[in-house]
Parts: sequence; C-alpha cells; structure tokens
Amino acid sequence: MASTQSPNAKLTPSTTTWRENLSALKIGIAQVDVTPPVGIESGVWGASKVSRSEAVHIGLFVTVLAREDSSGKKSFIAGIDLCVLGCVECAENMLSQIASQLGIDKDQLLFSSSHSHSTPLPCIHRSKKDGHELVPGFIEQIIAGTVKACKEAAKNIADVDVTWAYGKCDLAINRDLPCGSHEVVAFNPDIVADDTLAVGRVSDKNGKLVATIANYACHPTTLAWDNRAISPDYVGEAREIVQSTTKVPMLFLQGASGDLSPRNQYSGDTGLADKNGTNLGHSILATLASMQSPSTELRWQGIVESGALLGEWHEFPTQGSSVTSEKRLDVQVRVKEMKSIDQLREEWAGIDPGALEERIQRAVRLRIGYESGQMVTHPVWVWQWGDAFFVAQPGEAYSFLQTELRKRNPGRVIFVLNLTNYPGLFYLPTKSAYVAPAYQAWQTLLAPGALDAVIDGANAEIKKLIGGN
Amino acid sequence: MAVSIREDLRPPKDVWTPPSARLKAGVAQREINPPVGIRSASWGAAKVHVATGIHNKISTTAMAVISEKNFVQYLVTVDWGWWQGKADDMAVRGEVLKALGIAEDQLQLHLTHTHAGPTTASDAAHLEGGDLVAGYHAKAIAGIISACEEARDKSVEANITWGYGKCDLAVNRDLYCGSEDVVGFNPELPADDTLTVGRVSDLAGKTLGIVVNYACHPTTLAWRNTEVSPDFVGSARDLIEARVKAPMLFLQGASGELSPRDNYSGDVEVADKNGRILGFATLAVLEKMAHPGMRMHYLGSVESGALLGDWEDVAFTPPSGVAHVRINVDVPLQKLPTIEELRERWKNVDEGARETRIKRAMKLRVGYVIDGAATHPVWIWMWGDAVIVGQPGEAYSYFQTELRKRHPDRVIFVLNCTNGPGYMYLPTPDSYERHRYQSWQTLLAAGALEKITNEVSAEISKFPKNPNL
Repeated sequence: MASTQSPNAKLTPSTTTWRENLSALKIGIAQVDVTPPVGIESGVWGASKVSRSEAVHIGLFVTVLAREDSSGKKSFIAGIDLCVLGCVECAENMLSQIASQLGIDKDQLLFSSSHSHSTPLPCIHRSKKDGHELVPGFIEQIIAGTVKACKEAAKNIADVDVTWAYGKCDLAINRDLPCGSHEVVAFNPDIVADDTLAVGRVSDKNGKLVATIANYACHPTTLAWDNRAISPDYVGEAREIVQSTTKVPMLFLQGASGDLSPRNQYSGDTGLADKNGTNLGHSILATLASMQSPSTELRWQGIVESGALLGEWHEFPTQGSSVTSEKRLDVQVRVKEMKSIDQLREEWAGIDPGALEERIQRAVRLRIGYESGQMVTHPVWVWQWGDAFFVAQPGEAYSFLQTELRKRNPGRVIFVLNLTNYPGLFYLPTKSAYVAPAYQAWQTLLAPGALDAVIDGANAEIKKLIGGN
Repeated sequence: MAVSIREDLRPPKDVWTPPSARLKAGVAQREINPPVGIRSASWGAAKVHVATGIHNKISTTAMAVISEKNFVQYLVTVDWGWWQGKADDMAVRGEVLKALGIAEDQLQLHLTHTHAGPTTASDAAHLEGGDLVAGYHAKAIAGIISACEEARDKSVEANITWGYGKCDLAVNRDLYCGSEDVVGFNPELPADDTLTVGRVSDLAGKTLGIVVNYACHPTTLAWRNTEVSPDFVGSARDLIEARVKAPMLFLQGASGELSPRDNYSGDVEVADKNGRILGFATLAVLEKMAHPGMRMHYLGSVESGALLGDWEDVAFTPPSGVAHVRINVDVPLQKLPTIEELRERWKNVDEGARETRIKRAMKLRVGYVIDGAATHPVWIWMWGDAVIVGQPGEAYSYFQTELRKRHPDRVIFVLNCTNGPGYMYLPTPDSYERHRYQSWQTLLAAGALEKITNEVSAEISKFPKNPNL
C-alpha cells in the first residue's frame, strides 16, 4: 500500500532487493539409528576406570543428505554420532566399504563425526578393554547404517529450496587455559569463543520443511570419565529439540572446535549434556525462525505516509542458485619433528598408568604413514551447493579456520567441518598454540603453519568458485 | 570417581563468578485484555481505528524487590505502546503510586511499545471506540496494582542470575533514500543484537520469573492489522513461560532505530514468527546460565588422554547490594515550531496523517518543556551485579551499546518508554543531519542523547563494584 500520491513517493533506497543465501538443488535426507548394544566399550577418556558402557543416554544416529547433479551423479554428506574414526586403517576399511556398496568414488562422500566423546571408537586396533569384543559388530553396524541412510536419502531426492543463514549460540567457550608451565584443556574465562552457528533449511517446492542442517563448533565433552552411558553428548538433546519442533531430520556437523568446548563439562551427569544441547537446540530454532519464507526475497515497495515516513518491503518469489562444485584439495603440509614413542613414554612416566597407555596407543596409531620433517598432503573438500560452501577436512582444526574463511568471504554462508574423512586425524592448532604449548600442539603430527595452509587453500578455491560464477 | 589431580597446575584466576544477585524478590502477572471495539490507533496510515479482536493476551508483569527497612522497588511492564503526554502517563502511574503508597522513584512503569495496543490516551472519549477507554484503563490500573501487590507480598529470598545473549530479530531501520531517510529496513547497517536476561529463582532453585530486555520496535503489526496484540512480545512470552512455568517480564530496549526485518504487516502469524526468534534466543541464554546460586571453582588438572582442567560448581552467596538514584538531565531543545508552522511543514501530507503528527507534537511538550527548558528524568537502579536504567524516551541503541561498553563488569538493562515525562526520541547526531523522522518527532536537539549517556554512565560508576567479576 505505498503512498503513490505523496510528494515523497519517489524516495527509493540505493538497493531495492535483499535476499538471503539461497540454493535450488536436488536433495534428499534420511536418518538411521546406529546405536550399539549396551556393554560395548565406549568413551575415549584416559582418566576413565571403566570401559564397558552400562546404558544409552540418547541413541546414536547417522543422518545423510544426498544431492544429485544434472548428470545424475550423487554425492553425500553423512553426519554420524561418533567421536573419531579411530585410525587410518579402520577409516579406510569403513569408508571403502561404504563407497563400494554405494557404487561411488570415496570423494563423493563427506563422512563427518560429531565428535561425541561418549561413543565407542570404531577401531579394532587401539584398545582391548572390557566391551571391546562388541566393537567389530559396531563397525559393521556403522557401515550398514550409513549405506542404508545414503540409499534412502538418494531415494528421497527431490527439487528443494535451501535457505542458509548464520546465527549465534553461546554454548562454546575457549578451552586453552594457561596454568603456569602448561596449558590445560579447560574453560578459560578470559578468551572469547567464536559463537557462529551456520544453519540450512531445506524445503520442498511447496514450502514444506524437509530437513535442517546445523554446523556449530564445540567439543562434545560434557560427558567424560564418570559417564557410563553411550551418548551423542549435547548433540542428542539439540537434535531432539529441533526435530520435535520441526518434525523433520536434522543433520549436525561439528565445526572447527579444536579450542572450543562447553563451559560445564567433564561430567557424569547426562542432564548436563541435555542442558548444553537445549542451549544449542534453541539457538538453531531461533535462527530458523529468523529466515524469510523459502525461495523468496524482499523487494522495495515504496514509501507509506503514516505518523512517520515509512518504507515497505515485501516478500516475492525468487530462484536460489543451482551452481555446484565438489572438489578435493590436497594441501601440502609439513610433519613436525616427532619424539619417538620411547621418548614419549619417558616424558609421561609420572602420570596415571591408564592415561599413559591411552596416550601411547593414540600416538602409535596416529603416526602410521607420517615421518618427521616430510611434506605430506592434508585433504580438504570444498563443496559448493548454490550459495553455501562446505569446507571439510579430517583434522581437529582450531576455530581460526572457520572465523578466517567466513571473514574472507562474508557474502556466503560457509559450513566448516572437522573430523571428516581421512587421513589426517589430528589437531590443526594455531601457531600460538605451539608456543603455549597446548595439548593440541603435542597431539598433532603437523608443524606450525599447517592450519594457515589449509585456510589459504580452501579460501583460494572458494574465491575461484565465486569469481567463476 | 577418583582421578589423578595435579595440584601444581592451576590458572592464575581459579574462580569464575557469573553476574548475579541475592535479593528478596517476587514476580506476578495479570491479564489486562481490553474489550473488542476499543480505540486502537497507532498508525496514521490505518483506516480502522478500533480493535476487531485480540490476537494475544495483553498483560502486565511486576517484579518487586524489597531491600533494607522494607524499601520496595517495583519494575513493572505493560503491553501498551507509549504515552502521548504527561497527563496520560500520570492518569495511570499516579494511581498506581497512590494505591501502593510509594514515592515516584520506587516505580519504573514501562510500556513494551507494541504498536497494536489499545490507546493509552485519556482524552479519546469523543473518538470512535473511545467510550470504552476509561473503563478499560480503570481495569488495567487495578491489574497493575494487583500484580505489584502480589509480587511484593510473595517476595522471597531469591538468587538472580544475569546474563547477556544474542538475538538477531532486530535490523536497522534508518533507510537512506536520497534526500530523505525513511523508517524501513536498511540491509546495509548492522543492528545491536544484545539480549539481556535475568532469571529469578527461589533458594530451592525453582524459577520465579524471567526478565528479558531486548531492543526492537514492536512494529510487526501495522496499519493493516486491526487486532489488539503485544506484537512479537506475545509469542516470545508464550514460548518462554510454557517452558519455565513462570512469568516473563519483557522490557523494551533502546530501539529508536531498530525494528524487525519483517514488519508493517497485517498478518498476526508474522508477529508470532518474530516472537519465536526472541523466545528461542532467550531460552538459549537461560540454558547457558550457571545454576542458581552457583559459581565455578577450579578443581584441578586431570591427567587423561590430554591434560584436562576440571571446574566444579560451588554454592556461593551472590551480592545483595541495592542502590537507586534518579537524575534529571538538563537537555538541549530544538527550536520548537508553532502549530501553524507544523501545518505548513506537512501541508502535502494526507490530512489524517498530518493531524496525527501535529497532535502528537503538541502533547509531548506539556509538563516537559517548562519556561523554554527541559530536563530528562532517568531512573538508575543497582540490583546486585545488574543495573536497570529506565527513561521515558525512545533512545537510539547507542545508549545501550555505549553504557554496556563502558561498564563491562555489570549487566545493564536499558529501558525505553519508562515513566515520564520525555516521551520522545533520543536520536544520534547523524539523525538530525539526515532529517530522520526521529529527529523531527523529538523536541530535543542534537547532543541530548550523548549528554544523558554520559551522566548515566557517571552515576553507574559511583555504584559499588563487585571485585569478583
């Protein structure tokens, strides 16, 4: 109802159209329960004295988005309630089988762990503690569940509109805490944490909600050594809250959380995991509520003479971007000068024997295929789905990866995924973390500068794709 | 479970205390729905000026705080729009003060600023729907008094946790349109997204009430709407109250240039959608809060797979300091035009809109401009680690961002539309240069906002500080 007769009727802003990041794609979603049997060895805590799980807090799920391009080729993003892939050998085994059963190349799948620290480790090599006998069966369950979810998601593929947006969530805090000569992995009240939440809303051509996607960076370490339950940690309750409100599956993707965790953590209380999940779940719902109607943009309608001189915008249908690209980059990074396993044993000689063995086992399995000082490739997948980008890599990058990529590319919504595919299942700390020195810097096999190389590589690819559009 | 604790590794600051208060407090709410058919005329562009229905309940919520010598302070909100003049304000506030037997400075009576509320004017009897106003105002006054009395009478020792969060409902609404600025969504300017929340709990941890302060014009519903509504505040409150099972007290922030992106609508569902953004964001903030009456102590460093640091919740007694001051800031006035000059200024505007503007302009002056000068009243209350700053104008968000920036060690609630007189915009200097609506609605000259900000900031600095924050 613009006031067309007003002498002010010609007033017009310099920009008369505003739209969110929108995509028009062919996508399907499916979710499959992969909860292992109670009794399986679960949790990844060196300080834990009991390895056998005694209950299920909330079930574990694999959630898959399948996308089909114009040639009929399919690609998949699978988010699963797992801590990590365990070791390169087991990762190779699992992902090869999944790709083979789906008849796809491995680079057509982003297999991303949510990083819950209260799930079994799908690795047959690392531990032989109580409940380990159930691990091989769990690995088979993951493979079968993922294949099933991928096939169902592929079957559900349809034309959809996706709205992408950033929101905020303050669940995460910084966890690099200086304590004299060491840096400890704990809540640091003095450093501000990245609170960015990236959300996608998938709707069918009638505007009906089909799926939601949430990408947030925060270690799922609410539950720790005192917990005996299998759990997705805070992701479980976040997903239940979002799914019970929206009535469609939610795909959760862990962000670059190397230095981020909840403030309240290391607990045996599943209620605390639920509290943290409620925070994230409500933040996701707030972001979803802030989006415009699917596949619409705002257009300037003119001024309205009222008590004040008002300006009106209305929603109009529009078309999201269908430009897509899915590429794997092999970023060159240097391996640091590693201490020998014997040196590590000596260095850690005074600590709790359980914790020592956990650390040694991790170190042994981690360094397979890596030698001190050599240049290696760290894989990074950069996928463009219309107006959104997915940047995924296997390591545990510090949040600098996502803040920097988003700062350099403010016009697009960028999903940044840690713990996706393999090899390279170690931290990507900032240079300052090596100086501290932080746990993440002695856990990683890479020399300082690796994170920057990954950022530069991914950024160059994004720039190329944006420029090419 | 006993874990290996390293006492030698501790952070320099090993206690983290959330902003909080221990006060004797109570919260109560009353529904004060007006009758259908009552005058409801907030928009010059509207063709219907009476309510045809009630979208969501109109309510009043009171919080009472009782300090030494039974000194009672009342923080009260009402789902109404704004006062047109001092007579209207005092017709309600004066009655409340009298009934409660308190001094003026013991009450902050706040209007949430809905633009779909019943009229607040006490001189509307001759207008369509005006015959219902006097009876309704009497009912509303009784409801306000009753809520205050209940809040006072059921006050108990309470732990209050204060916190900031973020909500992206608000956008900037100063839209450059060549020679003039228009009140409409400006996609190119960021908006303050700060959300301030207080959670009042009894000593058993039961939630007694939630206080929410957010800056965003409730202008979702506009000239096409004919139903009475609290606008977005309604569904936000419904969502929060359904979850926490206690009343939510909403306080409009310094929203002079802030509004929802989706506004000027006739569709109540849009108001509900906007409310969900605020409601979910508030629920997220509540989950991040520490448990009532708890702070965190660094327990020690734990040798696990990594060197971890464990914080634990420990009960403490929050600060119970209460302070209050009212200041009267000498503010510069613009050259005030005569009625004839206003008619000439708006001669090309539709007659109805023009007369609305002139009437508003003249009522503003009564009781505020005295002998060519004006003082702007501000009430500043300290409740533990929080400060509540209320004033009658519609300040730009500079007021709140600046106060919060200058006092990062406190949680500051900033309230527009509180008490009176001075029911006018407090714009930034560039608003005068751009000849924005807010600069010609106000009687104040450029510099008033900065002067008020400086004097309020100076008063806050005088309050005792909590060394633990």
